[in-house]
Amino acid sequence: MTLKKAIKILLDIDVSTDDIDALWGDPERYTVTPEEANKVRELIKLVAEIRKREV
Amino acid sequence: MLTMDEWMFIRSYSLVMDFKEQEVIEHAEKYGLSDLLINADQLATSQEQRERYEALQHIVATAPTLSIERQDCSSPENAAKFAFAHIEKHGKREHFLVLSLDSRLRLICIDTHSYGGLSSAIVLPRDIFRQALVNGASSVIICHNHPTGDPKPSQADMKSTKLLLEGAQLLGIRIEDHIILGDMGRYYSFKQEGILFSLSRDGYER
Repeated sequence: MTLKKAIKILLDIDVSTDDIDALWGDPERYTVTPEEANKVRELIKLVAEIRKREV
Repeated sequence: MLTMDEWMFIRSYSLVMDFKEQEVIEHAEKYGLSDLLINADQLATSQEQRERYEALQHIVATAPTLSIERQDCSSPENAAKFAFAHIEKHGKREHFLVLSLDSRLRLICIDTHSYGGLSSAIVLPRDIFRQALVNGASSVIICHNHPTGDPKPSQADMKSTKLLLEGAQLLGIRIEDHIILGDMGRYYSFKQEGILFSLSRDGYER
């Protein structure tokens, strides 16, 4: 699965990169609106929380 | 009994996954929160939910290990440094930022609330503090920049700061500082200048 597809499935957003490091580092650059960037940021937080709780 | 952090995690997870929150809570109580990623496929009853579950697993597996080590924001200098770095990425327009901090004054995250600054945009306390509450913040640092380069606060900055202090006090959120960013690394810290205390009503305790 590509990053673009995963983000589309989860957030219904078309991001313009398949580089997750780039997207994580600068969501605004790879999304169209501030709202979309915020959605990506929420996902980043969720993933960070999941990582914290991983066994 | 779930902690606030756990509850926020479940809410965020349920929204992204489109799972029913109550079912997620029951699953977490039975198997633990960590099970929600590795073994929660029974919660995904529709094809769409299964795809979401798979997509999230893919992202968690490939996402960079972010530094979740929280950075110290106890000094205006550090807070300004993070705010400058955040603004630099997004060009020279006006920004209004809120730095959410934990109880040890470490940075949880930076949220952009408008691209208009205090003077030219409506910055509603409820929007600012709602996000801080969502972030589980104990306190916040408010930052905005002056594209003119002069970080000296205007009368409008003073008035807005006072209003935000009053709103924060009602909600039990502490405003640690209001920092105005100028050019060449210059900044004005209301806390450092001793203005924050004098602006607060009824002896907002510092």
